[in-house]
Amino acid sequence: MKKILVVEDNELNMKLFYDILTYQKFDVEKALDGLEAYEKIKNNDYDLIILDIQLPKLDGFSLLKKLNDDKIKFPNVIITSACAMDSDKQKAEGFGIKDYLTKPIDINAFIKTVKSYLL
Amino acid sequence: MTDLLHKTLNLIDDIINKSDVKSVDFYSDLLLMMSSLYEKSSLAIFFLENTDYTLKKAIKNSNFTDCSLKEKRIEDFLESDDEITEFTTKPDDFFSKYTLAIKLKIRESVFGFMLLSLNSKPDDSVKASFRAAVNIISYKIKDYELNDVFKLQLKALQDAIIEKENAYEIIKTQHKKLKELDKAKSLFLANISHELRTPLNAIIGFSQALDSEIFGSLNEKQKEYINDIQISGLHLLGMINEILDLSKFEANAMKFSPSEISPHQSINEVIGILEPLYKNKNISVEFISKYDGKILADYQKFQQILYNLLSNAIKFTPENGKIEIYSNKDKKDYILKIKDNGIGIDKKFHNKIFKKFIHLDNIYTKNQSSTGLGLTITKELVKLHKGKITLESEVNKGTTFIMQFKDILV
Repeated sequence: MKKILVVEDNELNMKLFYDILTYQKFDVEKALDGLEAYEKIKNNDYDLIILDIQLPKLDGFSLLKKLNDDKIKFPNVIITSACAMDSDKQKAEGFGIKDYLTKPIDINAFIKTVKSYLL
Repeated sequence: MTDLLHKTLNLIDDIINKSDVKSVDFYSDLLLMMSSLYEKSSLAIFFLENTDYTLKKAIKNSNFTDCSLKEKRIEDFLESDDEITEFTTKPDDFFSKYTLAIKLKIRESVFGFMLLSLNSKPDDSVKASFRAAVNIISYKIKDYELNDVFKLQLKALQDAIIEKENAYEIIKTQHKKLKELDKAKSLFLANISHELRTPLNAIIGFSQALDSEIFGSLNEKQKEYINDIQISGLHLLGMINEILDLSKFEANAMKFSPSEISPHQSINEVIGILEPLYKNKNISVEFISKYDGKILADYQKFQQILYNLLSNAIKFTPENGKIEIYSNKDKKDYILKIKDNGIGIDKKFHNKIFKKFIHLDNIYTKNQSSTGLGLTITKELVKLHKGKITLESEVNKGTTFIMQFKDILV
């Protein structure tokens, strides 16, 4: 079973991602802030990370930078952010992330994107 | 140059360099020294108006006390065009037999006169030297007065500049404040957009999840409601996007990535996207394309222009109506027209229609979700393509939006 880490601070959005990904038969783990995500990525092997950008303690981009700085290996990342500014999309590209989904996301497109990495 | 003239010039030069033109000494020295030039002579200087105390005192200090020269004769001379004149005078304390009068003047303005009274009839060299002396004195005095005036004007000018600088500073501060406020507003709009997206993600996401019936089937009514929630959510999203777009335009942060695109294809795509909407109202949409080449445009933004205008046209056109899209070229310009036979727009609103948050008629928009930003954004998008958008419209006849994109033909 493919393991996905969802990093999302909004409880309802977390529930949404968790429910639909679980329904798709993925093993889903939750991280509610950037630091929790950092610890989990450091200590576990995930197949995919679903990452929000605005997060408590450590925001999404800072998390990615810290992982790179600390040379911690991590899998493909799909960003789901409520920020629709182009500057953030460019930042994501800077980290080699191709999929930047702006909230509200289309569930079907989201599942398709997730599957494109895991199947 | 005669000897007398030469002496006069040297003397005047001397006096002028030595003393201040406004001091008593200047005039007593002047008169005293000048009379030494001419044998048995008397000299006097008069100022007509606005002579200050110093100058009057200078006259008083001269030997001139009583005047046998009648005032009238002097007045006549001053009113004449002559620069210099000769009077025969009855000798007394001041006057000798012959008196020369000469005007103190600068350009055409006479501000005084000088008298030189002599025992012998003045010859040409006397006249010339006297004239030269008076000319120099005139200039010196006037120069001084002008200096005074100039100083006053300079002061006034300085005051005005200081005042202007103060005003400029105030405007600069206000401008800075406004810019900051504007920036804060744009940031606020961007934040609002962000804050609204987060709950909207849950609203649309959960209703989509329910709609897909992965967690169990829905009955008809439940399906209908879920559909309603989704449509409302998408409307809300449309508005959020418009607010974000506007804030981008206002912050000059709207990205523009032009490439060679086929407007023909782009327009057909938009017509395809909106097909369910116009089919629903049984509106016919006809596309008459007279230019099939390419243009330099931002694909997404060009489509957005058309999408906004065409969806507006559909919105304001009654059932069974007709919408026509014309495209053509004009030299290197691309022309696009969208014509409907809908409700039309009153002439008095034609100027307002592109302004922010304008809703023209609530009767027609009450069932439509709208921010009143659509046309404002459309205009900005057209501007981004170096284009201009205008409209022709008549109430109950329809509206035509005309766009001319400057020099974008490939």
